[in-house]
Amino acid sequence: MLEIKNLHVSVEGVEILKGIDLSVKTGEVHAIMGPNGSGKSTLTRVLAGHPSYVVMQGTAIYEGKDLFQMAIEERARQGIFLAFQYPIDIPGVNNAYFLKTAVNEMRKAKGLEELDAMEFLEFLKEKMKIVEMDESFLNRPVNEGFSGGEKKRNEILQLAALGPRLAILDETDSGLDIDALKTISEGVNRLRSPNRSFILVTHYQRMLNYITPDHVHVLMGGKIVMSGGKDLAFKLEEKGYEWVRPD
Amino acid sequence: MGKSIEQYQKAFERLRVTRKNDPPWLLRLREDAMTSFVKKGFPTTKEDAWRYTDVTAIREASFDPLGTIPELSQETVEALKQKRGRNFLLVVNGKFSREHSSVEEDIDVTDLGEAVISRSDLVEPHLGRCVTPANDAFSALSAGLFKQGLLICIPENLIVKEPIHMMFFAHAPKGGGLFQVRNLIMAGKKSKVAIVETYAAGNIKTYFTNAVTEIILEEDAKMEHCKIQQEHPGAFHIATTQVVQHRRSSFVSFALSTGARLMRNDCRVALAAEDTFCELNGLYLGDKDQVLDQQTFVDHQKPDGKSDQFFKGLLAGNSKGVFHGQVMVRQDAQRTDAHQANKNLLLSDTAKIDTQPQLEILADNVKCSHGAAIGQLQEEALFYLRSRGIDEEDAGRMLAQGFAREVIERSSLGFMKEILLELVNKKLSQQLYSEKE
Repeated sequence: MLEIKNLHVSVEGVEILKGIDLSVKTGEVHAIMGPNGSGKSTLTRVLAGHPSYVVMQGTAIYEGKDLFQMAIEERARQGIFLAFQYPIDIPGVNNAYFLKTAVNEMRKAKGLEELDAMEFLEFLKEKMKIVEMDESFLNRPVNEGFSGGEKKRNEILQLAALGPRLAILDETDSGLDIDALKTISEGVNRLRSPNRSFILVTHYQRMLNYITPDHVHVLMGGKIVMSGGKDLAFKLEEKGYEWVRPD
Repeated sequence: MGKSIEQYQKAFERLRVTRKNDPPWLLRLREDAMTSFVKKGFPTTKEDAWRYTDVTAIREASFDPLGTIPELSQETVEALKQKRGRNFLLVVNGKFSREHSSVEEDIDVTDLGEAVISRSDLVEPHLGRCVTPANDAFSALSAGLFKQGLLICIPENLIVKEPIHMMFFAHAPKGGGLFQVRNLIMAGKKSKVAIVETYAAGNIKTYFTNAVTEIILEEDAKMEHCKIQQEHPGAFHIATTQVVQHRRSSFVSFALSTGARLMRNDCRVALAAEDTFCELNGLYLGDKDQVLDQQTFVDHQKPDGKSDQFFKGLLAGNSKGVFHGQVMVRQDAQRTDAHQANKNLLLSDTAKIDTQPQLEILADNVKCSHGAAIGQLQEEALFYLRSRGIDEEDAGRMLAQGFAREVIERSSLGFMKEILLELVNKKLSQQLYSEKE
């Protein structure tokens, strides 16, 4: 469902991705690992459409469409979701209001009727169980005053509520203690389905103990230098990224 | 001297004849005011206090200082009264319309033009003393030329159940003029009242509202005050409100400014006794070529006073915002707790803001803070919302609403919250729509 060919991306004039090839089929979970500065976040952000990232060369075809021709909100409505590594605070915008607006935009895109306030609350309560979030988070401004773990939970809650076909998780495990990691991983596992693909970007292997990937890729210096099955993640944990470094 | 100064001087000559019965103190006040006005004229940008606000357009326009008062249709009156409750005071082009107004029994409302004569003793200690003609040319013009206005007295111990809605309506199908709005409001000891001042317009193109409001809060009086400025886009609105607070009194206020082509709203509070409290919050929203100038001056004169100011501006198009917030803490004002903040959001590349917080502290045991900030819609926040399928325009609106909402939520004027939010959303739609053009 996502076919990336020879992707070169730069930000502020510096080339970060230097020729990425990646093929993700429906229902697959792909893990992308790599040291800091390898371009992991760049990949997630360029797929979501962040204006600062410039595609120099290459293509990304999503469900038969040219992804880079689609506006940010269009990509979301076509089922792409990015869970941010550092979700931003949005003071003054109520979390429930934000979630309801996003959910209804998605429903509109699918030709479904919008949910009213009551219906939405019922709908959301179910989803909140998946990530073990309590209702007090609904009345607060988006992410304001949320701890790191709570912000990540809010991201996965959005994933659950919006039901994307391609979910991209950017270092969702960073900054989480073991319990939070378990809860969030369980939430993600409950959201796995044959119709949904995941790209998990992670620095450490530990999240992959809970979420079993189908494919693991190693990103270094802006290129995918190695790909394999889930065992590759264990090898990296054992031997470190130096082991992979091309000569 | 300039054509318009001459015009105002001639108006004064005419007024002297028609107001022969004004008491001597008022005649002296008027003379001093007009002398001062003629001598100094309208302020230029060379004057410090007017550095960022150019009133040339007012100086050069020729407004009929003693404008005519047309009749309002029944429909218009009904529309103005809608949702404004039982305490409703209608002022058209500066003139109090008793026939279309009504208030609860115990509230004492008189036309100020009559009251200066019939209740001279009550009025003399305050009128023109809170806002003196020396304040600026506009206050001088008001003192010199006002013929009418409103005197509102809330008796001691009275708790006024419903807010008093004052509607200042500009209407002149045959052409605009200078509308002098003059209010003197006295809240007696231990009284409690809420006042909403709305400035709006009907069928009129350009006019000049020159408003002076003097408010005295006696000991233990509590006042909630909301000023909504939604004048016609072609209007000039210059307003000074001076509050004088006595012991243990409290003044909680919100000023929303969205209209007029040029506005200066000067909100001044003298905390003239111990244990006083004032809260000043406000929002100014501009688009196209509006100039919205919000001034505040809180004067802590005695110990244990507490003041809290928070103003926000949203500026779109080519509009310009000016904010100057002053806090003065006098030597006697020990244990003062004074805070002031101003935040601005620029919604276009050509919108401007000049902001100047000013704190002058002469006492040594105080807690004070002030701050100012200017920003634009955060790209990261917009990206976040859009990445959830919310389109760019809606995302911008959500962020701007969120920005404005913060100051409305923090205000203690709960009863006005919904109305303020509605008015802000309406103006935001206009601001964001004009961005697309």
